Amino acid sequence: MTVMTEGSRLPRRLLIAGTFLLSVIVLVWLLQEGRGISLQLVIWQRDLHHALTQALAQLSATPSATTWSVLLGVSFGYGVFHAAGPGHGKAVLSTYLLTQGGAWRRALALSCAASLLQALTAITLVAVLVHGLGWLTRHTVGSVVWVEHASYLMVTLLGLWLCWRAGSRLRQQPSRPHADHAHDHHGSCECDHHISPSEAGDWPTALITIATIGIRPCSGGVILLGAASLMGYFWAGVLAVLVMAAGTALTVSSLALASVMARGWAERRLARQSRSSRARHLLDWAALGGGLVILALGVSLLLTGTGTTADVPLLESPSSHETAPGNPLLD
Amino acid sequence: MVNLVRRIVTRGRDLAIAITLFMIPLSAAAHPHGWVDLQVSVILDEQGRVEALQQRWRLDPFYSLILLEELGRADSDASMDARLDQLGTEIRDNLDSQGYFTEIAHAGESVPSGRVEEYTTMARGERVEFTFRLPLASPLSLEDQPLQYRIYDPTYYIEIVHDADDEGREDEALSVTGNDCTTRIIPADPDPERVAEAARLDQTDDAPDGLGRFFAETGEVQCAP
Repeated sequence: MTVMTEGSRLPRRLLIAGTFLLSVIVLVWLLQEGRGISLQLVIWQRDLHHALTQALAQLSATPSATTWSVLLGVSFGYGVFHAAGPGHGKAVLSTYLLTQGGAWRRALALSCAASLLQALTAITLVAVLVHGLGWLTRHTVGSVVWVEHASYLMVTLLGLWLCWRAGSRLRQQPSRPHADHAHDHHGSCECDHHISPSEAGDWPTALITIATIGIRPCSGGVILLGAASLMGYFWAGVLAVLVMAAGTALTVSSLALASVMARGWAERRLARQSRSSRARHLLDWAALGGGLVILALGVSLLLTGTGTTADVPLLESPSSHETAPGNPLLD
Repeated sequence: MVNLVRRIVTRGRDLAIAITLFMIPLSAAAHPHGWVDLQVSVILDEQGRVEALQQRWRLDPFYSLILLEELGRADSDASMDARLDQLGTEIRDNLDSQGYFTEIAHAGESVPSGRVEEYTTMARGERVEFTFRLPLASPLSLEDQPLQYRIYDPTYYIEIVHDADDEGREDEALSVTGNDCTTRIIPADPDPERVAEAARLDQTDDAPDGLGRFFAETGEVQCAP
């Protein structure tokens, strides 16, 4: 099963040991400060929101290289930290990568595409509703609720699709011609570039995942775009939201890479411990489990409408009044 | 040695999974999307009893802009002042059902407040200002105990912070009409543990009291008996 000699594997093991050491440090830090992180994230996001508002106000008062770079810098930071809190998008992505597998390139592509799509949704929403249909900015921000519900529906559908796929793979397992495929590669896994049979032709799943994660724009981005276009700086808002997406992509890809690494460890471990056909079988069960987790997440989001009350109370459109009773200032 | 490394790798995998899963419930979904700069004046009556909290809320520039757009586009012949008044009535009605986001306590007991009848709404510069007088249900004699209040949006969608003016002179954001009284604003000191808990609860909508509470400043007034 091991093609390479122990000697040539040493650097790889050192790398793994190094990564492990880093993980321990991160974990110890998380255990000690873990609770503090929630607090710190909220505080950073709050401060960045203030900074973003001020940066846009300053830009519209005196457009200069400085005010532009402040706006874009703050937007990037906002994107990084906004993504550091978990949306359901990140839960979906990490569950997907953990249980369905995927090379690091795919993980990066998924993260970047989803972040970009999130920005594009926000831009399209404001461009079409405000500039195209002449909606009030307040109602446009409120419409995020509906897009959010659409994304919950998509999470559910993605979960169903993954379950169905894993289920059908489990059924054909015994006669599976590629059952031994893993045997050749696992253990000496230099196969990051390799698209295994299960991944080939998996573009529909990848696209559904991107859409599921990316379709929901962040309300902060929509508010920024709306305010920017009211100030006559729509394009500054567009640029800021795109830079925000770059920040988001950075955080989301880190999470995605962590998932891929975790998955890689698990796969190698399985391959070493057991016959590869059995390992393959177990991985298919893991895929089914992941599908179920995502399905459960989608259903619970649909049922509770999580996030709507916390996210859109202030600027809600009158038509969605019933879904969010907690609007502080206005219906 | 090899076995040791192998064991480390196994542990490493477990840790990586643990870390990945750990990141998911770290919630910061609820963070402010707007803010209010708050100024409070504690009104005493002739007998030195607390009668009302006069509050001025300055809405943040983005939200002000969005509201002013709406008022500007309303098709009616009403003047801008009349439209602002109409907006003020809407805000008052909405806040009334939420106790004006104001929590008052004295000598370890919660102090009930009444309904706001006096309020004005203005557009000053780029900011919309909503000023109102929140009466106590009955005048309160402070004796030697301080009066404390907290003003916050439980969902923390809006952050409400003391801030007197654009210079940010926070100490002037709380005043009192009496002579022998002192005031102070106690900054929020959120307990990380409870924030983490509330942030998670928010996700499932079961939170009895949201994140906003932990980030609320406390205003305090103490008068010489």
